[in-house]
Amino acid sequence: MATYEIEMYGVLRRLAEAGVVSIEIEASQSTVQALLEELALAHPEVYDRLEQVACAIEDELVARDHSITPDQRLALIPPVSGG
Amino acid sequence: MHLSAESLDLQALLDKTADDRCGALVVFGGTVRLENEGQQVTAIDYTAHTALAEKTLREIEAEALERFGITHCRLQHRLGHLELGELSVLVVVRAGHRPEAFEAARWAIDTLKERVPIWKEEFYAAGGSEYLEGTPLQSKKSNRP
Repeated sequence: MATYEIEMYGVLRRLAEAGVVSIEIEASQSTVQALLEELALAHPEVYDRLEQVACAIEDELVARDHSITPDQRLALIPPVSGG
Repeated sequence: MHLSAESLDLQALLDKTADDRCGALVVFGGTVRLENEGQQVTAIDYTAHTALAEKTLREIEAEALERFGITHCRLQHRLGHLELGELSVLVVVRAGHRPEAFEAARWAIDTLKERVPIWKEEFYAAGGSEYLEGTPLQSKKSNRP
């Protein structure tokens, strides 16, 4: 098992009551999608929001089948409302 | 810098973009409004994914130059706790003539609201606060077959 950190933004931060949550998954399953599925189990309060969430690593948006390593932080970007 | 925890400085943006080639200057400013969807607003907290927001704001500026043939486009967004009437966002466009300046400024603010990872949490006179629904970002498509 490997530990991954996921950054929560906007309403997700309020729902999860945390800016960063840690998730453990098998290193061999380490895609963004696998992390999201495990997150939904560990934090069901954000489950309904995940469909509309975009994913980023540093300043790049990534697809859900993107591979991720434990030294990378996944950021979850809910619908945006700047301006 | 495109994101600021301090009050936005319109004059500084005007000074940085001053250009004798331009006969048109369009400025858009967004401010914290008293009412939203029937609720009396007292303040807004703005938060962002700063690395992605900075990059996206730079991309929108560059795209505006290319798309509309304007000379300057600068975007700045405030972060943190803003009271009623405070400036949350500034768009400054300079161009040779007014049609492309107006068009580019409108496009830039509309695109900022759709693409930049910034969130507003509104606080209400009746108590409590809400994150606004917002616009989902286009998720990156898979590169895999």
